[in-house]
Amino acid sequence: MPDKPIQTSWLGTRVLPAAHRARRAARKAVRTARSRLRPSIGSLGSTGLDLPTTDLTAPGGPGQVRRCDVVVVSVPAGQQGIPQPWLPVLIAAERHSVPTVLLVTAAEELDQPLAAVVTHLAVTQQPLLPQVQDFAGAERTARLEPGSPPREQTAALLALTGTHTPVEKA
Amino acid sequence: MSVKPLPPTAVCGVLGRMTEAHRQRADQMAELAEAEGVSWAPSYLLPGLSLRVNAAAVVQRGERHLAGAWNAGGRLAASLLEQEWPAAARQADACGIRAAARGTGVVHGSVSGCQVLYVHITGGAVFFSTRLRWLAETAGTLSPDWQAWTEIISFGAPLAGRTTFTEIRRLGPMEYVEAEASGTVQLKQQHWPWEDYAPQARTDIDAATQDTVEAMAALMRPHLHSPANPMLSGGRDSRMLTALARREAADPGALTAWSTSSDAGSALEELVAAQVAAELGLQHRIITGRYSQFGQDFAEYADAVDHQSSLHFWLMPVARQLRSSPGAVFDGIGGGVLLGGGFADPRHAERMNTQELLSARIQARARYLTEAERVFSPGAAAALRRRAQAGALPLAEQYLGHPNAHTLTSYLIRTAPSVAPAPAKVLGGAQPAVMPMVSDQVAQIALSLPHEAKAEGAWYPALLAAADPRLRGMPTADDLTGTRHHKRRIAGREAARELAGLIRGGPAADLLSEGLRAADPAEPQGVITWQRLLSTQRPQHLIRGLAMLTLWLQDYAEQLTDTEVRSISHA
Repeated sequence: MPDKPIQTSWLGTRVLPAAHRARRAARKAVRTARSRLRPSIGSLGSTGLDLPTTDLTAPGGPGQVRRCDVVVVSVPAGQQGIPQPWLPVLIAAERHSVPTVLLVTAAEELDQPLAAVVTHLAVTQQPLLPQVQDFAGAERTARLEPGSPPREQTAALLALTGTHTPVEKA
Repeated sequence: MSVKPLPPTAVCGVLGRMTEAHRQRADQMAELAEAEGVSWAPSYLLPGLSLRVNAAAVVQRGERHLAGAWNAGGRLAASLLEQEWPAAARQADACGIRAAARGTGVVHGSVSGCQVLYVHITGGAVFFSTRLRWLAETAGTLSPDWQAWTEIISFGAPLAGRTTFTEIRRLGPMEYVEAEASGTVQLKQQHWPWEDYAPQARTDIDAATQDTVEAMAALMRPHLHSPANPMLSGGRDSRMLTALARREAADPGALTAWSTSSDAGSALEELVAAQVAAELGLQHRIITGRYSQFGQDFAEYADAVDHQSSLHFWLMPVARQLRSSPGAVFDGIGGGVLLGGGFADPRHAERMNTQELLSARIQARARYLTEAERVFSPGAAAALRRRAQAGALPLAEQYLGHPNAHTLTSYLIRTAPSVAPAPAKVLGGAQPAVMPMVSDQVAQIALSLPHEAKAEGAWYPALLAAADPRLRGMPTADDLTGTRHHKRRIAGREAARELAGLIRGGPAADLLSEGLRAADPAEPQGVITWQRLLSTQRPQHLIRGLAMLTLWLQDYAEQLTDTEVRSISHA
């Protein structure tokens, strides 16, 4: 059971959180600007989307993560756990606040460990959406229009991952 | 040879004056337990004693006496009962009972105080139970302990053995209740040996490291002849125990390491845990909760800890899965405070006066209250601060000049009361739960080391390498310093609506700040107000405490002498 000390020093309670917030805000601003000009999508596995993506399973993948706006992930066929070579990529994404989106193609994929570690989930099939929303909440879930132009799919991914706490639409 | 898995530990009974009403109450407690799925061994009935235990406890009955012992892990040796109870409590971190003729004897707690046993002294007898609900529901009218609620909100759990009912106590380290031949039944304190352990100037760190690792391995070994379930986070303590389980297991293929999200806004813990499991060649499962099930998980957690802690609600999904995975759970509670050296006085402590030092030690565990005004009305926030300080002060004063003062104070304010219910009752409600790091053997070595040998985790590299050389140099989730960019489940729209609706619809709404009282979670802007507070650790903690209070009032309002929650504000 985690039994960690609570930060009590001035450095731990004031300076470090403020530095973290500033760093996160700066990265977000840079990423937002870059994603408008030239969005970069990384991928782990076969996404099935008609999008130009950077294959992060290639050598040097973890080093490329920080240049991505989003990493799209799919559950590899016939594999129960997270493929070991993907772990450094996913860890790099966590360290650099790069959102990770699992493309869910079947309800059983929600039981896969990948579904437990990504920041967001997306579906292309409307009937799956309620189950995915039950699993991950409405704010972390979106439907991507199958067959829509790459630009729209990219915009949908950025819209899904761009706002932490969106105001609910009426 | 594989050994049959044990059920989670369950014990209840009464010792002392035995009236018909007392006997009936003992039967009612047992029936409540059976309704929850407990299978009792045949009852032990002596003059002045009625005892029910399940297969996890060990009992020896003589013609005119009885001795029993149990802890959350089970598999205690019968030879333990040949010793006096303080020695047994110390050796096996066991609670127990020693009964002699006509209802005399003792019901005792464990050396760590992390084993959970509740007692209710009434009518010349002590009723006891590993589950507070069995005691409370059979007790008739009870009084609320608003000081205990102040402490749940401020620290995470009631301090100094208090529970949410004035009449019922949880036994602390080496506490016991003695029923005497005169008919007197009293709560008493045996000397706590951890107070005797002090840093030694000359210590062989290598030997201490080996002794610590082997002490933990010895405690785990009896549980590793059948499948087992080490809990594995991204930290050091759990990986040490997982590696030891791997080393000691008769069949490592029968081990499953379990990880879950602590809902801290990052998945680094789970991902680093997956790397460790892969390195050790173990099966690994990551379980997280569904957003739509948040309300159910929170309510089940509240029930599992009998509303006595508000910290580890996020364990419920993995606890549910563990119910169908027989075998002991290994949990690293106590590692941070005993091995990690993370709970030390500030660097400038020597320049502080006594009052400043005591306050620093208490406030280090009550930081949640620094954000009290964002959640509570001004009057309630001020009263919570006053009452929290007053409740913790005797604990801090007790160890003021002790060489392990901050460690013992932290242990008694946080580890034993707040953290222990998670392994002992939440995980321990699913499978037997073993907590090697709070054993007397480990505490003795750790508390005897100089502070500088443990400061800021300095001892961990040696401990990890001794547990398994493959762990040498592997980074932890904390080492990788990620950002918390995940949406926390508790800060999702679904959970915010659940918690806000629960609190605003109950008596605890009287304590809320004006802003929160006005924030209607059915409205888009209202739910955002709640979500923003739930996204940050301290206000979130305070809101969880209020939600826990509301669920408790829903369950027990009809039994309580008073449900006026504004009593919290009356220091």
